Amino acid sequence: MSETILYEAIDLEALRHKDKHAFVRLVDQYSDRIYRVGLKMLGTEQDAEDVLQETFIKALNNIEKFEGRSKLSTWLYRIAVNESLMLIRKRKDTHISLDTDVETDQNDLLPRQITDWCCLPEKELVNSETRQHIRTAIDELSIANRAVFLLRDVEGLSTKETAEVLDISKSAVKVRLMRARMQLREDLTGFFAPRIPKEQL
Amino acid sequence: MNHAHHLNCKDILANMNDYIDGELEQSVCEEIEAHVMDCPNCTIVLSTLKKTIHIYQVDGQETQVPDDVRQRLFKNLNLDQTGK
Repeated sequence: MSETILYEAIDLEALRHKDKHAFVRLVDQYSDRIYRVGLKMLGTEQDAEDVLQETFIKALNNIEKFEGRSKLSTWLYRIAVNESLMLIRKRKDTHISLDTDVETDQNDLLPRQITDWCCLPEKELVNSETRQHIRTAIDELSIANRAVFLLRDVEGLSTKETAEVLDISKSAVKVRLMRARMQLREDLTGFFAPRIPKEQL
Repeated sequence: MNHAHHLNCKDILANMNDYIDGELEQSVCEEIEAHVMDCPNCTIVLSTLKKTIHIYQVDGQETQVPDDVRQRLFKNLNLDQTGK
C-alpha cells in the first residue's frame, strides 16, 4: 500500500530531466530500503554504504533507461541486489547464480526441532541478544535464499516482484523462501528452546 | 503425526508458505486448518514459523540509514538535502 503511494509521489519525468528536487525525493524515499538490502546481503555497514552509494549513482546516471514497465522500487532493488552480488563476487572470487539448485526436495524442508517457543514474552523475542542472533542466522543463509527472504519477508515485495528483481521464476522464489523460512525457524527454535520455563514444556 | 484428514503432515508442510501468505483457495485453507487443529506438531511448526517471520520483520524494518552515511550519500550525489 505505502509502496504505491511512494511510487506515485515521484515525478518520473522530472527525474529524467535530472531535476534535483525529484532526485532528493527519490533518495529520501528509497535510501532506507536500499541500505537494508546492502546490510542484509553483505553483513557490514561499510558494504551497505557502498551498495547505497553505487545504487543511487547508477540510478541517477541511467534513469532515462527506466521505461516504467516495472515499479521504480523494483528497478532500484534490482540495481542494489546486483551491486551486492558484485561485491560478494569480488570478495569470494567466485561466480554466484541466483537461479540454480531450486529442485524441491521435501526432505530438506522437514522440521527437525518441534518445540513451541511462541509462549515467550515479546520483549524476550526481540531483545538485543536475539537481534544479534537473528543477524548471524541471516548471514548463514545461502546468498540466493537470503536475497529472496530479504525481498519477500523484510521488504514486503510480492512473489512476482521478487521474481522480477532477481530475474528468476516465481516457483524458484517460493522454493527459496520456504527454505529460508524453515532454516531460520530451526535456528530460532534452537536459540529459544533452552529459554522456555520448564513448567511450560 | 496425525493422518486422520485428507492432507498429511508433508502436504501441510508443502503448502505452509502459501497458507501463511494467503495464497491458497479457501477450501485448501479449511483442510489445512482441520489438520492443524488435530496435529500438535503441525500446530507448533506453523505457529513458530509465523513468529519467526514476525521477529525478522520487526528487526529488519527498523534498520535505517545512519545520519553520517546519509550526509556522505548526498555529498557524493552532489545533492543538497533540502533539494537544491
